Amino acid sequence: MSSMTNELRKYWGYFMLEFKRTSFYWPGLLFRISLITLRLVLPFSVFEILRRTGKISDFDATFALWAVLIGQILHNCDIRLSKRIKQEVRSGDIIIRLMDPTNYVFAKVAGSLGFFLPSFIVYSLIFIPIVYLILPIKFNLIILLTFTLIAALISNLIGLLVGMSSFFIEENDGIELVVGKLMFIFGNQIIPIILMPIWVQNIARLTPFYMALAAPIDVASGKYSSLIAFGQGIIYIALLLWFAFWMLNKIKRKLVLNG
Amino acid sequence: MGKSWNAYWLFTGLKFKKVLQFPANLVAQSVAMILNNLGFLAAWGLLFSRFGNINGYTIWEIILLQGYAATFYATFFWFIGGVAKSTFEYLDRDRFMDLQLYPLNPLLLLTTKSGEPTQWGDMLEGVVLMGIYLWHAPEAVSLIGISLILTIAGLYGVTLFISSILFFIPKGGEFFGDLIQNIFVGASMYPSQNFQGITRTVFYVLLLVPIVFYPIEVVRGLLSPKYLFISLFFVILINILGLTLWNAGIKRVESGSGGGLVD
Repeated sequence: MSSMTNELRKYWGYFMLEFKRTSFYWPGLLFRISLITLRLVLPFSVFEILRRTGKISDFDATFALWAVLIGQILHNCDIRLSKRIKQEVRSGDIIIRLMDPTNYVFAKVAGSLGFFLPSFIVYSLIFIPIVYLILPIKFNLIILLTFTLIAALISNLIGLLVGMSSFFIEENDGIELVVGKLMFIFGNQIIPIILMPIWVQNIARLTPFYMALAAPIDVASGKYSSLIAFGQGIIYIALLLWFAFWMLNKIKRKLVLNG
Repeated sequence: MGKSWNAYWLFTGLKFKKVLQFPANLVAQSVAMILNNLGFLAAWGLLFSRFGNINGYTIWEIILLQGYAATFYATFFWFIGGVAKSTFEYLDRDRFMDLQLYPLNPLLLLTTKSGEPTQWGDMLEGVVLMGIYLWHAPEAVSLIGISLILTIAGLYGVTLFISSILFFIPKGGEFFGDLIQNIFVGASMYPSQNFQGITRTVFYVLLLVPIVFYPIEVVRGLLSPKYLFISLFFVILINILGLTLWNAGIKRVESGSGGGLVD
């Protein structure tokens, strides 16, 4: 029992380490705020045209903006684990990290959540009240926060797997690119999936990329069943974790210590 | 001046040679970039497949805009984008004197400090997409070159102006390059006629309208070619302002150290 507590304490340490590191350097914050604003304003012009020409309803136009907003906030809270791990592998200090008695996968997930949480709070507090005042929408805040946590876990686990692929192939830019594009298309990054053809929506909802960025607002506003989404989320987390551990075992066998 | 230009072409040529020395890397990165850009095209394609024509805006416009953006982005960073990429780096590391030690214009040297293999992919994709658009609308061919030159020159002026601010307020300068890139390239890939009211006013203040939107709208036949003169006016103005601010800013570089700023 006490070893379990000690273990949990270590992961809490990783969480707090990243949490404290996320000091908001104001030029960086200003840059992110400008970026999110720009990525809301640009597609909104398209939603407006679709609304004015009667191709989508008022509700769908408003929802599309919210979908992009939450998608952008979640995207900007991501620690970019894949890039970090790639750097660790290249610089060689990965061996020290893998020799750490704490589990590499859990340590990375705990750290990335430590980065995610303060970022999410700050961006949400800046954007959600403003957009709500201009274009209000009905959504369940508790469901939004619950699915945000699931989304954060899934997106960081995807980043972890992409990063860990750099142990097997020196240049994993191709994997990063493909995953990034799938996140872009299925993750409400510019064009929300509710504006895409129904068959694309059906495919998107089956993917972890949708769960990582687009699901929270869809579920919180009743566009997608919370029960199905919850089940999907748990299955994806379990599958991604299993795959991460499988890769970790392969990686440990590949490591050679010289001196 | 002649010496500076010779050095500019020498450094630019060396930059190209360096990229060409690793053909496998060049091909891999170019293909990756093309696929990356095509993701955007795919997203728009899906939107059009559901709604068809959006306010007179079709997949042809997307092809033109994507091609136009990729071409001006690649040309800009191939030849003159170093100011956006490197000014902050030189100032932040107190290395500006490295540039001033050459018997050449430091600004011209700085313009050569950019260019990635990925931009070859942008250029290839841009030229192909614009070629497809011109095949569809051959009447645009006479104006597309002038429009591109105006956009690139305007972007240089904006970059110069913003980079010059770093001599006075260096904090946060590492984000300037990315921000300019996101604003100008990002906005150029949307149907500009849809930005109305306050958004268009803000974009006018950011010079997006005269530098990017007018040239594209002229190519698309939405505006009279006379609007290119308005673009030209703003391009000249921002370049003069940028150069003036640069000349004022460069005086703040200390000569005693490696090239930091006077406190």
